[in-house]
Amino acid sequence: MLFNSIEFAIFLPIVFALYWLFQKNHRIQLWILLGASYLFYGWWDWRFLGLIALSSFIDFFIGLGLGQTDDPKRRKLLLAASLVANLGLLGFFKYFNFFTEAFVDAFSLFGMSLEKSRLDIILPVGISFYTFQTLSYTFDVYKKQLTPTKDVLAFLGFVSFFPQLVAGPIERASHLLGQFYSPRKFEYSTAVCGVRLIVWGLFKKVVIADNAAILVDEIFSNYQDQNSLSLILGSVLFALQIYGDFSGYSDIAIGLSRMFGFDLMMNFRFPYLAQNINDFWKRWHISLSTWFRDYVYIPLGGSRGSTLFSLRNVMAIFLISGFWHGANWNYLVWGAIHGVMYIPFFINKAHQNLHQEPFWMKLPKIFLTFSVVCIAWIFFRADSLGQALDYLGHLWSNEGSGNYIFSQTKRTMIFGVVAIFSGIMLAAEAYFESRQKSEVLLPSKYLLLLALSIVFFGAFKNHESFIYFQF
Amino acid sequence: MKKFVLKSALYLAVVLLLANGVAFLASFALEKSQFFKPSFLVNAFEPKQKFKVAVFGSSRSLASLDTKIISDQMEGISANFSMDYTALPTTKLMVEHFFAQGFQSEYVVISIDLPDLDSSKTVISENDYRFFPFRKESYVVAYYKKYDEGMVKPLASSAHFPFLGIGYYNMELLGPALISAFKPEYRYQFDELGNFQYPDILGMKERPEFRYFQSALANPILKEIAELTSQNSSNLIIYIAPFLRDDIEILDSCPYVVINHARIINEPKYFSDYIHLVNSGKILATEAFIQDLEKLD
Repeated sequence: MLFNSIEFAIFLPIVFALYWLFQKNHRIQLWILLGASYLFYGWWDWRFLGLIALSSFIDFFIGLGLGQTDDPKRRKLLLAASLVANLGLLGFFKYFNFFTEAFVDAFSLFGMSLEKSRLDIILPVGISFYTFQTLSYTFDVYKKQLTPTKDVLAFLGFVSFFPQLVAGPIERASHLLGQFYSPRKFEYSTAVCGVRLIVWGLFKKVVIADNAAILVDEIFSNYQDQNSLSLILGSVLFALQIYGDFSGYSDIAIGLSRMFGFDLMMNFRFPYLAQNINDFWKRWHISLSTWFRDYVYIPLGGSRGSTLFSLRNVMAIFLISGFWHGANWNYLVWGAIHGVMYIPFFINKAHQNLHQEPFWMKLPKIFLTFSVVCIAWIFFRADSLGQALDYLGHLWSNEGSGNYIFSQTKRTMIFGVVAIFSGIMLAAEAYFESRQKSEVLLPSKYLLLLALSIVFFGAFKNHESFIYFQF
Repeated sequence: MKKFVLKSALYLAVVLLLANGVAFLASFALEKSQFFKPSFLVNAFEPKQKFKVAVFGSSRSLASLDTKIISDQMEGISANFSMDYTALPTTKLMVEHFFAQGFQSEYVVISIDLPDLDSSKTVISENDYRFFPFRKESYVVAYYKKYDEGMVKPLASSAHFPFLGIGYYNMELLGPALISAFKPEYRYQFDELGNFQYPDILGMKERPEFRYFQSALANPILKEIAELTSQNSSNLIIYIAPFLRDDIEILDSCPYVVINHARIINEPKYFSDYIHLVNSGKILATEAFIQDLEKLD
């Protein structure tokens, strides 16, 4: 079920009404949330409900086991069991074909030929998100930073909470799980705040991302015929598409959670206003980057050793982050580009005192950072590493003569819509950032305009799924 | 909670009201314009105009018949009401629209394409939204109800909630509505007699592999069109425009008068692709069509 679908428009009011109808009975509320979340997830493919339930029960019982023993060996064994089970499932569904092919290719280097066999594996929606969420629980319990829960209903609800189930934010048990224990009271101001975020998120998804997708898909499919301008615009449009799509989803998820009395962590903080790559990663997909920081980077030693040792850890995080997105070399290269660009700022600690300059002085740095991000996005969007390099080659050589966007009035109009509304989005973000806010919460009259722009400029004909569902 | 629900309902109502208001204005501007063919038909000609030849069909009839030449060589006004990216169901809708708006024609020429010879798919065509300003006319209501797709059926639902159609086809309708509001006589890529103005492009260089078809034109939609033309005292002519690679033999059991020009032009240079003529080919095809029509006269 997509947030921008008719099914969800029917589903949400029913669940919302039922949920608050039982405001005085917290357990019934939990059952309603759990039922709604499983229905929401099962709408894609009911067969994967077993997978999410299995993943939840494994970590629930491992958590209980960890709570009952202080024996380090036994605790390590339980942690390993959770890792094997969760990463095993993730590895099978997401990386099996990649590793099989890489294995065969490696053998062929030594003159041995093995037959490539692929399995037709359907990737369960959002598996990377909920796997990381349950793992965070086990890690925290293992590190004794969290008391294991005995409330199976709350735990199942925490893992499958429908607003953030399929594309995050990847919540920490220490932040979200506790909210499932306590009774929730309807708060008008929180719910209104939630609706404002939902409308803003829908606007970014339907007006900016889905319109941009129409142009991006064609430019990337026919990049060989396109001139440099068209290819540059293709990568810029993809930057806007993926941001509108993913941050739009996060805004809707956070807004929905507030309507149900939950608080989710921030996932994006105006990333295209970042002044360097270091700053960018403090603003982009925050829930994933902090997850890697807490559960991979710090356990690896973080920055506690020599500079070289720290740089190794930084690079490892970026490569793992790239690989998390998918079993494809381009994601690894995308992660590597960000890693390489991150290192100089990491060494110089350039993120400090970034916000003390006037906005106009920040603009060249913002532009430069955005340009680097756009180049990296080409690797993220392309179907293969070869295609990404070829795309860049054509961009550089200006061999193609076509310009997909400006060769037809309708496409130029779509480009105009994306350009104008992206400008509005970035201006709003700059305004709220200047007021030290991390969310765009527009007043009601602007929300009306936003809603009308969704109705009249939304790409409903190009009804796109959310990009991050595939991860 | 009550306050939240009431306020949400109020804002939703205001959005729906404003959205419908904008959609009504857009629809009104399009209805009074000549931007798309359905409005062009209503606004570009005298009420109850009687045409000599009215051509209905898809891009193939736009690329094959020039009604300026027909009007010059035959007495009376002839016009082309074909729309590209459409199929026979849309052609029938345009014929219904033509008669329902009080127009008449001595000859109604229906250009038929390969996929529609014996049956048509029940799918909405790419340019059916162009009937949006007439969404409350009974024949358009029936058409949208039958062919519109998806859970919301934006065109079918537009009879009552026009913002759904305008919202769904926003890129196709909003811009034209804005242009129409300021310049109602603007026509979208066709002249005063409905002829699409194709740019002069080079013809094909090689002939593709040949294909051969037979048909008795059993498509039930043709029968419905025949009934319409008969009720309105028009002569129905089924026209098969030239192909570069296809030949269609019409079987003797076909009950209609057919001008079959599938193989009348053989040289690739007259075609821009396998099914569309370039401008020089269009002149040849029109001349041949006039000759055959005069034989029928």
